[in-house]
Amino acid sequence: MSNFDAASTGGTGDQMDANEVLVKERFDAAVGGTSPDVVSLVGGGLAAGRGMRRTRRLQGAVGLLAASAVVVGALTATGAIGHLFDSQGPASNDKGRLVQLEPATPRGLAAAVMAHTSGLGTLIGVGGTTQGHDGSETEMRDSITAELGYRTRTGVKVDLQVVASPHVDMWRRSVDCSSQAPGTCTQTRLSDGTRRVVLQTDAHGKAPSASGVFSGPHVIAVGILRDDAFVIVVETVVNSAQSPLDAGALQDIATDPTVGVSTTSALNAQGLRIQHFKRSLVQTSSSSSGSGTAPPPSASATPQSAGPPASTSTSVAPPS
Amino acid sequence: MSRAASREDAFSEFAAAVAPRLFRSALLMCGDWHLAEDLVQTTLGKLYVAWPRVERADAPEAYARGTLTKTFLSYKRVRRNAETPTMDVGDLAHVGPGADAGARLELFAALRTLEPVDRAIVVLRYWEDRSVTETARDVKMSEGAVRTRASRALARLRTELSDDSSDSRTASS
Repeated sequence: MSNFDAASTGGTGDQMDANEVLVKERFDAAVGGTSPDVVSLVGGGLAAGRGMRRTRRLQGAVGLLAASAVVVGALTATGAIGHLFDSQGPASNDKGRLVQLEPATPRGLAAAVMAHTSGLGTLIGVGGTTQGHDGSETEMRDSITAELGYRTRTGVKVDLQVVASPHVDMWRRSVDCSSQAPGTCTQTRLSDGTRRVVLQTDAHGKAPSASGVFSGPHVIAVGILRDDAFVIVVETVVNSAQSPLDAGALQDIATDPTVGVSTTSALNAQGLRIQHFKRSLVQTSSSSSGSGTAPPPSASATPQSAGPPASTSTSVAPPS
Repeated sequence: MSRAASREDAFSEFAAAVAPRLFRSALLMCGDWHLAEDLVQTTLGKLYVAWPRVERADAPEAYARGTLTKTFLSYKRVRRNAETPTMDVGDLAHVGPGADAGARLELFAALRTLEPVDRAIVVLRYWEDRSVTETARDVKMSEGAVRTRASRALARLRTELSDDSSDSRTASS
């Protein structure tokens, strides 16, 4: 009879105490003599901590962008558009083609962004959410967010966060590029009259060099105040001075009429087929050591088909 | 010495002191040598980020153990679909080196029959000698729930380990 058997017969309180002692003895026998590599553990912990701290700084910068509407200032809007979630009608894209739009889901928004980023590298995380349905009068009310994490072929980790908000007037009033650090924020007007604001900053909130070169991790955000929505695309480059997408590429995403609070039924349907879609934001870059996190979804996280969906039903699934 | 260097030295000294104990607890909770290393490194990373608060804590090591528990439970929540009910008994590599690998494997197999939170409770209560109050705080449960779950988990362990012992005797006879 094992010690356990002997102690467990009877089942009185004192014997249970004896079992506790025996469990402790079994624990001690199993791991008491183990000698982990302390130098490796401490070194790994230090590296993980530095990575977490760097990522937090970057995320702080991203939060600054999204919350204070950083990027945008004095943007023109063609009128108050607070009802865009109800607006379902034709819109023209930049090629003059009419596109039937419907309210976008976070998955639909992600699918619309992925149409621009298929060549970026391996998708290591994707998610999205709706925000601000608490009735508060904030810029983030009714907004949709999608976030995609990629690892490029050269090992660069990059997060793309796309926020689309229908409350154009509110954004216009609240945003001012002049509050940003010198050299980090520029405002221009596109050929169609919409305003573009670009913010570029490193992890310490400083601007890139005069030639636009960063020395390390950085954030590039492009905000476009369109007539139907304010769309901001934020690129966070976690581990490199190189930017896989430049401001022009981010602008292409932000000006795409299917990227916003409305999109096509095909993209909404395509979004439903995205695997490993997280409800909360992915923040792929926050996993510093590869531990404590889910295994990254494989490349199959991309929509399974680039072609038209089997159904073109206008019904939209609730955000996952 | 710069402030940053001083901070890193202080953290490294603390980390080196607590790492072995954190590792053993992590190993009991997860039953996998490599995962235990990852959990400890992640825990130390979190402690590094929060170092000013850790330094000021009344019991920095208790803070560290609480962080490890949360890290483990968070990991298990994310990975619950990948959780395997029992360990591959033939795979000794994952339980780490040592002459007592067989006993370790037997214990880990028994622990794996418990829910992750019950594993954490058992380790906190009977390996780290944490009080019910401290354990409840670390696993974010009421003290009553901790008492109940600890009692049930202990009974389950007793059964599992007794069965294993019986199996061993049968196999050796």
